[in-house]
Amino acid sequence: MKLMKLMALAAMGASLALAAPAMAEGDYPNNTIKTIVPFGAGGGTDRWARVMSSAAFDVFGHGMHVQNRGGAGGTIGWKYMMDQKADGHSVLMASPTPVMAALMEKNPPYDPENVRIAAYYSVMKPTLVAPKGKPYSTWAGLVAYLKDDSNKKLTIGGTMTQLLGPASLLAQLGLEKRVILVPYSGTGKAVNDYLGGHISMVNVTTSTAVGLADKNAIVVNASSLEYNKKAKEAMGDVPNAVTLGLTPFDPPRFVAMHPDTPDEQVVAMGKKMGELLNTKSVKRLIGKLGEDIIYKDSAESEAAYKQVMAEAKKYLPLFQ
Amino acid sequence: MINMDALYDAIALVFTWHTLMWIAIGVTIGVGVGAMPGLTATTGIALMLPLTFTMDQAAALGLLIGLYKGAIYGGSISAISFATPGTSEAAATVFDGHKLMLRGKGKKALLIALYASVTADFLSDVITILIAPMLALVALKFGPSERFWLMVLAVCLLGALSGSHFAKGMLSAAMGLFIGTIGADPVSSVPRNTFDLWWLGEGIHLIPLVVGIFAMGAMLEKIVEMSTVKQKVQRLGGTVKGLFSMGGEGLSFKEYLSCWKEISIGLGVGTFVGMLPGLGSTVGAFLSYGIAKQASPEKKIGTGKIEGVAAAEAGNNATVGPTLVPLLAFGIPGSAVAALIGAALMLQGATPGPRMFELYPTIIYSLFLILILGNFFNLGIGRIFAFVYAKLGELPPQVLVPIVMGMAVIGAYSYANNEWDVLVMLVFGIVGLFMRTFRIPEAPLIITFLLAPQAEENLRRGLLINEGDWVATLMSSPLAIGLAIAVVALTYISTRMRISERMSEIADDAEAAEAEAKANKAS
Amino acid sequence: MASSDRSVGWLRTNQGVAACLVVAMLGLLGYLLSQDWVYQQQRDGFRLGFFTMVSALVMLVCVGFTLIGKQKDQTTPEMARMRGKDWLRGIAALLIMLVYYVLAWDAHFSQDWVRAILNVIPFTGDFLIWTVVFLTMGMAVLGVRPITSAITAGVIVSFVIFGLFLLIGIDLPQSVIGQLLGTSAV
Repeated sequence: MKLMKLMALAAMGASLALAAPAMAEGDYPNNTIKTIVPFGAGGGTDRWARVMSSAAFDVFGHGMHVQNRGGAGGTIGWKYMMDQKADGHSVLMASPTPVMAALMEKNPPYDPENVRIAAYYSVMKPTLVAPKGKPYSTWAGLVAYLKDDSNKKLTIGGTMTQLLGPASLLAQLGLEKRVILVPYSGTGKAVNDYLGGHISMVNVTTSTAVGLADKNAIVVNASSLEYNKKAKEAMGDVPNAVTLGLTPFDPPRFVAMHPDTPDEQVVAMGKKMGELLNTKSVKRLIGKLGEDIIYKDSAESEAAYKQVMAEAKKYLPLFQ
Repeated sequence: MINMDALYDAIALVFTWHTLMWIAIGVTIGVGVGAMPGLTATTGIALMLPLTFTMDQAAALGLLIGLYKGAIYGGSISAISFATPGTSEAAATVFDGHKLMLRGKGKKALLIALYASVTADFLSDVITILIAPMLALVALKFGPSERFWLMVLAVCLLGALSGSHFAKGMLSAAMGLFIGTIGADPVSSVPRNTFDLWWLGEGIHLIPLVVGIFAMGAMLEKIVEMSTVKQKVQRLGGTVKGLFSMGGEGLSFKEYLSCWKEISIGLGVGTFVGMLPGLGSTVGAFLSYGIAKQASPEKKIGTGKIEGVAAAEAGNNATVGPTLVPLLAFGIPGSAVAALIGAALMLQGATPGPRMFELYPTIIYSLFLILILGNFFNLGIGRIFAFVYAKLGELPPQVLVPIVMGMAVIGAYSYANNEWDVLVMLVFGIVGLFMRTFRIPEAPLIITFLLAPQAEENLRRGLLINEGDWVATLMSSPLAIGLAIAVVALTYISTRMRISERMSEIADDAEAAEAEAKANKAS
Repeated sequence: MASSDRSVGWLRTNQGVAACLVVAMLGLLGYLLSQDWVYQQQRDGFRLGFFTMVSALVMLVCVGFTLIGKQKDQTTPEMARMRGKDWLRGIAALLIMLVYYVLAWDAHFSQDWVRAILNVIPFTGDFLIWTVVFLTMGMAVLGVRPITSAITAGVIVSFVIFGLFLLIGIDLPQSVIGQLLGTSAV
């Protein structure tokens, strides 16, 4: 295995030295794929990229070379992707963070909507957690509690992206003024304050929620997606945006490409990503990391992305 | 209470050649990574994580924990040898460590750094193992208002680092605050104070700042010095040969023992800081250094004393074990490194969380054993590195300066592969040179840069939660009130001390003037 | 620590330097006051520029104290020694580092003109070549003689750094030599 990789690496070096890669239809990708992670090594996105790249040879016939380009809330990495050739051999492992960062900027270095999306590889499920035995420990209870003006406002902590979930659900019911959204720079800090009783509720990712389910109540899942089997076992029946008849908020993890990338390459890359996510070793490792693979091909992803952007833009002013 | 079967299993897992080898590899890589400016424990662990995909539990944990411990110590090696902190947590080690080096006592400084690191690390690991759940409960008491007061208290404690010219010390602190406000507003995430530069949208990061102010500043100063005193190095060969000869003043056991007070301060501060999410080892080191300096003014810490090195190094290594407390107790990582170790545990099939002790006792015990064992590896491997680096530090500056400058560029870039970080580092290089020339102390800048944004974030978060009620925000609990009283008391005491110092200075001056007058009369 | 050597010019005393800093701080304050974002109110009532303005004012006050404080006539030994050309030397060193970085990493900071220049220079984005050049030149300029030992040291150190980073798994830019060694990844 290792030998093969080395040989492939050597061969690649040789091919680079000998000739500029000739683009021919059908044999795309025909070179190593530069995989840009817009964060420093070690974050969640980085882990996805490294797990996926570990199986890339088998699917692409070429490696995925992970490059961390961190800084400025992911905007450095996104901008770096925009500076690459639109030849289909550079992809960005994106998350909502660089999108939000650009939306916050008065003069953003790029337009987060002017981008091609090859695939979704996961969708986060913003999950609201509350202490057990409170009047707001269930969704119905929460709505009733907030509708009664004599009750105190509730505080919800979490990262900005995560908070947009419950914020959008409550705003659809006209209850956004009855809660205080408390942004945190990391889930860890938010959960710490929640467990210490300093905030009433916390909004977290699925894997964190599973860890908390034992001693806390899971109120709502703001996305349109069902939890996986293991999470369901731990958390029981949790209403999600669709079952509640509300517009969901589905923050994606996605593979972005340069806006000028030809259509067929975007589609082909999306397909290959699907195959990659379907390999046994990737499935196993991602499962162990407590994450869910949720694949959408390029057409589906681009449609879903438009929707989530519209939602995000609508509710971001709640934070300002 | 102790699951003996699991403990035996863990011992059988950990004490194999295979596992021990990976701990040794981890520590070696860690010390090496830590010693290179800009490369941190987080980077090292993140890069090694994919390797653990195919390893067994004990080996994977051995590699990562070994690397972590090695990297935190490794930063001090280059801090002492070249005045270039390898990692930001070693910045506080520069003050006394490099002065010792300049006096030809580099080996002594490197050894006390190693022993203080390992001692504090070992003891904090034991504390973690014994009372992790209790520590975790204490950490939960710290909400926004308690954290706010804690930060204020920390900043007040560090008055001692302001140096002999108070206004310059305060200027440094204000500069740290100013630089700290560059980036996103903590409540709305809207960029502020970015001079309309998009790449400053999330602010300036600690690594390019520290590398610029300390490493680049020091090297620029050396260049200026060299240009005033022209000298040529002709026999490089002889110097290189000298690298491999042993020698230099070592450290006696008595000297090690004489630092017990500083090591204890480091242990206490580091353990406390480590278990609170979001503070980290740099704060641990500076806080411990500042408190030690204030606690024993007669030791003159800051003028090149082993006690100063001991306090700073004990303070940063003591955070290693406690960083894992929130992870093990609640499954929430308190730092980037803890998140990575959490990921490694998950890849090994053990989800960190409160039920970990029941569900995966073998993994937990293995983790504890490795935490303890890693210290011994650190001791042995750290010594080898320390000797080599102590000798490298004796290379003539004409050779050393370009190398360290090159390393600073590589480090500032490699940490996040962000080209703008190199620019930031270079700009802070000239700021560092100015600060050195005008004798503005660096420590207050780093401390307020680290703590003031957190104080602001917590204050505003508290106000948000309490709907703008200042009293409710600032006095939310007995703990918050206690901390507030401590801040007031500390400010009072240190002002009094400052005034009495000033008075005695004036008295000394008067005496001296009188003596001079007498002498004049006599002549 | 501080000497009160009156022979140095006024500009090099605490007061002189502080006077320059006061001007700089007033400039900074003026700049901040002219910015819209400073006045933008956030949802918790704070203005976006509040803490920045506080820090700028504290800086001004501290500089003010240095200007009129007890030690105003003193100078630091480093300040007394530094000449104008020493500052220029420091800035020149920084510029050389920047050029080294740009060449070795092929970094263009998203600027088209930098990209255009880099396109005509051979071997840009080759860590080893430019690091050897930088280190050798640096050592030679600082006084290492004979030049051959500077070259030897430069080559050895560059390869050691390159090797170490390769081992840890951190990418350093490589083109020509990377291909020769077969270690080039992209």
